[in-house]
Amino acid sequence: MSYIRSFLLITLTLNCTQNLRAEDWRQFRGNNISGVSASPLPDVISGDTIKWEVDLPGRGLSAPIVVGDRVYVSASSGFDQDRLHLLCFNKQTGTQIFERQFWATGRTVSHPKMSNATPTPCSDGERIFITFSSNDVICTDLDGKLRWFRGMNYDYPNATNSLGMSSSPVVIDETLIVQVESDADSFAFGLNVKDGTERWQLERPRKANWTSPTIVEKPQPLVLLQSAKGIDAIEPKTGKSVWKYDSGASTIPSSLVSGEVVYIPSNGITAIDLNKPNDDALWNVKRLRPSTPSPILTNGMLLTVGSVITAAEPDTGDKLWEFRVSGPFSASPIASGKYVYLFSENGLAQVVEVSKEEGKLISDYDFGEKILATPAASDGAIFVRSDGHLWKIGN
Amino acid sequence: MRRPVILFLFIGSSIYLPIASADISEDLKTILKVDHRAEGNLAAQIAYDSLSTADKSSLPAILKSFNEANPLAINYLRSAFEVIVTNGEGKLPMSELEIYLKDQSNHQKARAMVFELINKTSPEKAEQMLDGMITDSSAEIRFQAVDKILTEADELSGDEKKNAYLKALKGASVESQVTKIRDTLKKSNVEVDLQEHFGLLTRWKAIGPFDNKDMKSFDVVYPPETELDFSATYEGMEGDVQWQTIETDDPMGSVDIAKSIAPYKGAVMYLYSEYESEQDQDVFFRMATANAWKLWVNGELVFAREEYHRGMRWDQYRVPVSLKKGANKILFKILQNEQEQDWAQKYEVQFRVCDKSGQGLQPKAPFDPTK
Repeated sequence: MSYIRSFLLITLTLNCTQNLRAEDWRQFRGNNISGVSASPLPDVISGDTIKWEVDLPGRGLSAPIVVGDRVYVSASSGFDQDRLHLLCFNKQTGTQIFERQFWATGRTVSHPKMSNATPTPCSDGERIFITFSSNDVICTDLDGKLRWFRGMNYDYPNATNSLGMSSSPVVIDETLIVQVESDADSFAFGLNVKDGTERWQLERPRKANWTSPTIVEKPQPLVLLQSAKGIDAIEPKTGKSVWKYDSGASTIPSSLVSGEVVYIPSNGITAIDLNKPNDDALWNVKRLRPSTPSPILTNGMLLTVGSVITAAEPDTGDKLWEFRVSGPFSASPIASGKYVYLFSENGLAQVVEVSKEEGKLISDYDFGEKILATPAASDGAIFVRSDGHLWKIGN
Repeated sequence: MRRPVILFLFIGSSIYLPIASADISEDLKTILKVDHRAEGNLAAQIAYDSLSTADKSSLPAILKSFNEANPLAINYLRSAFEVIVTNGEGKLPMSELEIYLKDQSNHQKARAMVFELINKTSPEKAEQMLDGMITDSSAEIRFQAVDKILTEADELSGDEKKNAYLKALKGASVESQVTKIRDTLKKSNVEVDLQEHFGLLTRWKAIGPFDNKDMKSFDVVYPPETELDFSATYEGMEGDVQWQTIETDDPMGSVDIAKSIAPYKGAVMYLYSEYESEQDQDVFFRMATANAWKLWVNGELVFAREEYHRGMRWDQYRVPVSLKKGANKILFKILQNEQEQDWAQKYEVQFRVCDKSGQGLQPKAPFDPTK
């Protein structure tokens, strides 16, 4: 490589590097995959709190992510759902900064409710990693410059699901963790963020799986891979198994880590002490069974969402109350303090105030469009998308 | 390695920096080397960065390289193409781009990308071009050409409308468009043979059931996998089995074992058909089934899929196959499990032969399963 080109590359790379911020929302359910906003969110959702609305060129169940002053969202379009989009918008104004398009290399078939753009992208603050149901894994820099492209279905033609794939990747320790799990071939990969090469590859249970990996920060950085068999806690950079939970787990809602406890959608909800993962569970409550949305913990309560919100004590699993909400829900809830934000498949946004005593609807707003994607939150605003639009909601 | 002629370097900026290009061939060669399992990714990243700074006069050369590119490489090329269109110096070489578009032997996706660019820069011109693209080799362009005719036909009536739909049918290969055309033409008393249009294989020999209790027989080799003796009798799951005929009159070509033979559970059935090809050719078998399956063509296993009841959708599987001139032997192993839910009772397959753009291909002569 010439000197000039090397200098150019280094300069551009440095320019693209941005400091990580607490107000980033860098992956599915946020930086720590809790779904909880770092700053207060509006307690009312109405036409007046919609700060901007932009058109999207394709469908998607993928959540927006936020890095710095930019919102990134993926979409898929075309009669075959084989056109892959990455869009970037200014967080304040909604002005589109760029769009990049790619072509799927893998199977794009899915249940009609899903689309190719179902997994949520993630970011390490320097790069954007976008995955699709077709098992295409794309890495760009923050300005949309392509860094590398992997076709996991191109490499492993039988690692597909005829209903579609939805697992959202996570990035930790310069490793992108991607679960590509199906009834046929089933793998998890740890990809080097710099070029997409495999640091490790794991054989996974041959069973369709729509869950996303979860990150544990303490007592040591781990990634929890969930499947019908349970949880496999692995070292991010090596893929080495550190501990396992083998009493089975859901293949749709994902686990929640809060503090030093992981709440696993397993026989209802099962709580495991991360300091003693091989000991008996802290508790198990079958009646806390979540449907599609993943559980959330806010204002000192563990909440699961089905046709009702069920609140429970995080320490014991004891049920506190149930509150009927208007579903059905594909999107996982997000929260800020005592407010929980739910977006139904019918496009109804609901703000529920939760206390130890009760849940109470304090605001709702009909977006008039199907919403299946989990929202994002940043700097006091909520970002949510449908197949056709991306909205910013704020005070 | 090409030598930059002009370099604009703005330290502190993160925008793309235009570099007039003398030679991009090395960058293209490097990008074309990306392959399975991240092979060549790092080198391609550097080449992509360099290529993305080329000026717009480089676009025709980039397009030509699509013809040699694998599905991974075309994404690097596409992305560089987009960046240059947006940021590159110079004028878009529209006449050269149009020449590329008009040559239907060029890469279908790249041609569709060029058409989209023309549509952005000269929408009226693109609109006119579509009129002559109803049988284009690109599925994406054809889809738009068909859509244009159908949209315009909404304003027509009587024979004018019928003739417009008949014209659209010539190019339609996407299920939603074809079924819309079929439904509309039916109101004008014109029947569309969907089986023929889509290239569906509807006439088969069948034998079974063999045992697949507990889903244990995906890799069990039953006699039809080792010999094709249509007069033989074998021991099956419920007694002796022999080859029989199964044909379907379902408009969408579903060969339904559960309805036409029996709703076996925990079973293996084999289907056999032949495709008489007029020439050696590369085609796609497009299939749909909710059952596990294996496919052999002329005795060679081409794909196997052990997935049960994750839905049955049109063109669910697309398997590239090389056919030889003459009769090609197609053996399909289809496995049913023992799930009891009402949504897990399908035991059927749709099977069609088409070109890479999805247009149905007819055999030289239909297969007669009674012989």
